Amino acid sequence: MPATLMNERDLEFLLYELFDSEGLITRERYQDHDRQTFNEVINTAKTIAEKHFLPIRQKLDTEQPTFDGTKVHIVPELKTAISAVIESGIGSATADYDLGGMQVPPIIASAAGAFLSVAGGVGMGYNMLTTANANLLQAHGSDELIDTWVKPMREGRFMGTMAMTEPGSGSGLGDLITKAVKGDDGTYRISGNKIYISGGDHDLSENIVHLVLARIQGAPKGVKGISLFVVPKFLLNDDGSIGEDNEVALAGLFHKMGGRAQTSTALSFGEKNGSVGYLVGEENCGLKYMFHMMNEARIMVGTGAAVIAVAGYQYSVDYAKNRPQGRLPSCKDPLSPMVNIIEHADVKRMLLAQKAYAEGAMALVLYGTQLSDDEHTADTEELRQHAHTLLDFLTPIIKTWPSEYGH
Amino acid sequence: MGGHGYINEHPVEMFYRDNRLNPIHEGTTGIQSLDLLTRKVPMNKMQGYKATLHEIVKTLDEAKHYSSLQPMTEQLSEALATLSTTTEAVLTAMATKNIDLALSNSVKYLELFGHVIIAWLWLKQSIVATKALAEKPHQADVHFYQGKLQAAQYFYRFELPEINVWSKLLTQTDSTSFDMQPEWF
Repeated sequence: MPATLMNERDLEFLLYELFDSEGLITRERYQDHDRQTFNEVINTAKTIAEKHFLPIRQKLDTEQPTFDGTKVHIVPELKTAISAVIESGIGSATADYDLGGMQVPPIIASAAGAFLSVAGGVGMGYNMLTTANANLLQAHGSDELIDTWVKPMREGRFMGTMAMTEPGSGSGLGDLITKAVKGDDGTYRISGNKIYISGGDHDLSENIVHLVLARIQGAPKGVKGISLFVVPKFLLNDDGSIGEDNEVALAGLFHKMGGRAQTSTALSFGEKNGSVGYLVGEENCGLKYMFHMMNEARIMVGTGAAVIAVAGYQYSVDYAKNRPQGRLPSCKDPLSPMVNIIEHADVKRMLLAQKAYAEGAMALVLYGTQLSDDEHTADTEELRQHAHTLLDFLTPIIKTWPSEYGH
Repeated sequence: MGGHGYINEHPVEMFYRDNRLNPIHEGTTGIQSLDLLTRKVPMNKMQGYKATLHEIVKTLDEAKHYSSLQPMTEQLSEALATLSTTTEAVLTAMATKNIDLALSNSVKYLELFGHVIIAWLWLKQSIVATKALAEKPHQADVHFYQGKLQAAQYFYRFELPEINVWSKLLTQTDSTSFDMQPEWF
């Protein structure tokens, strides 16, 4: 049954009636845009979603990525679909013009992304992680790191991950033991094992930029001794072309109950000589930087959950309106036509619950997304600070409420 | 969808599986709730907490102009009072009691706060819908806005009252989970 991907009337309501997204064009950053260009971005995403992702959605779920000992194999159509996103510019729509972006407001990019994530399951996760990774480096990395790694990620040539979890340290990051040793040239040698690294290996991009949390030799115990490094899968030659293998080995893939299009990997860093790592910011401040990405990732998680809830609700409504079954309790005539199940009071109750959760969650995540924009682009410093205060406070709720109630 | 939602001919079972990771990754629900109570609420003399409540009060003031929204407005005011007394009680418990005990129902606090926030956003949506209906829109939009108001009513009548159960557990520093011993499982 061809159910619509998103409730477009509701998105229009949220963007333009509940939140004044059209008013954003008065801000300098968005002065080239208007409601029409916003809708073009959303429609482009919708077209790619319907053309490239929807046809492979079930395949991505049933044919999980495999590892033959040397290479990861992913349903090949995914690469085509992701390329279509990158070529359209949607993948880095919010980025600055001079970094290859379109300076689209995040709330519009989020609405556009909703179509892609419904149609593509988590196939879009590779792009989202890359964006979050690039944003972190842009905020905390040196100019050299930005030039070397952010640009190719914005262009879609490289993809990014965040490598935090270890076999002995997941939620409790203070206990992580991946090691970093400083070399004479100012770079570090990284060695250790990481697990559950989403997008940790694949053949969708020329290179993979891992952001790795590790402990420099002699650093304090606990969370105050953790530093952040860029550890690429391949080192680069002086001219920027792909160089030597950097000893980031895939130990294996995990097989998940959901989100199957995105590889979840066990990675082994630097088993022989140590993987080359480039320090981000200052030593022992890694967790602080990672939380930059983490807060953004938490909004994305909430958004992903809200979007799934909306999609499930949409699908259920479409089904209930078209499925005849039974009669109302008041009807005693077995020869009368059956009613569509949407007429039954308890089905209406369930759909109301779905609607209340899904559209409530969607309003929440778009509100959070707008705050994440306002903290940088609102008209006055006072408004920017206010948005920052609200977003910082609400992030645990924006992440959790849709995740827990979005089903 | 009945049995049809349980089979993989329809995507909803995949949606269900896909969402199962979300309460876990990038900080579990438990960690989020500890972050909220131990950091976000007390931080900078409760600045974020107060700013959030202020936003809700602004919406309540606006909603007072619409008589049809009176029941929701009253209920959200009460919910806000419940949130305030609960917050005070939990912060007092954190300062005076065994901290592990005081934080043992933190997820219920996050759920309570989350329900108040969602109720607030439904009231905001209801204000927009009420205003739009007064402008006599075309039939499809009448249905759309009526649907908004009905979903808001559902949330307020079926969901929001749950916070009273959670508030009671929190204000009394209920120790059921805390007292449970590993050997008793």
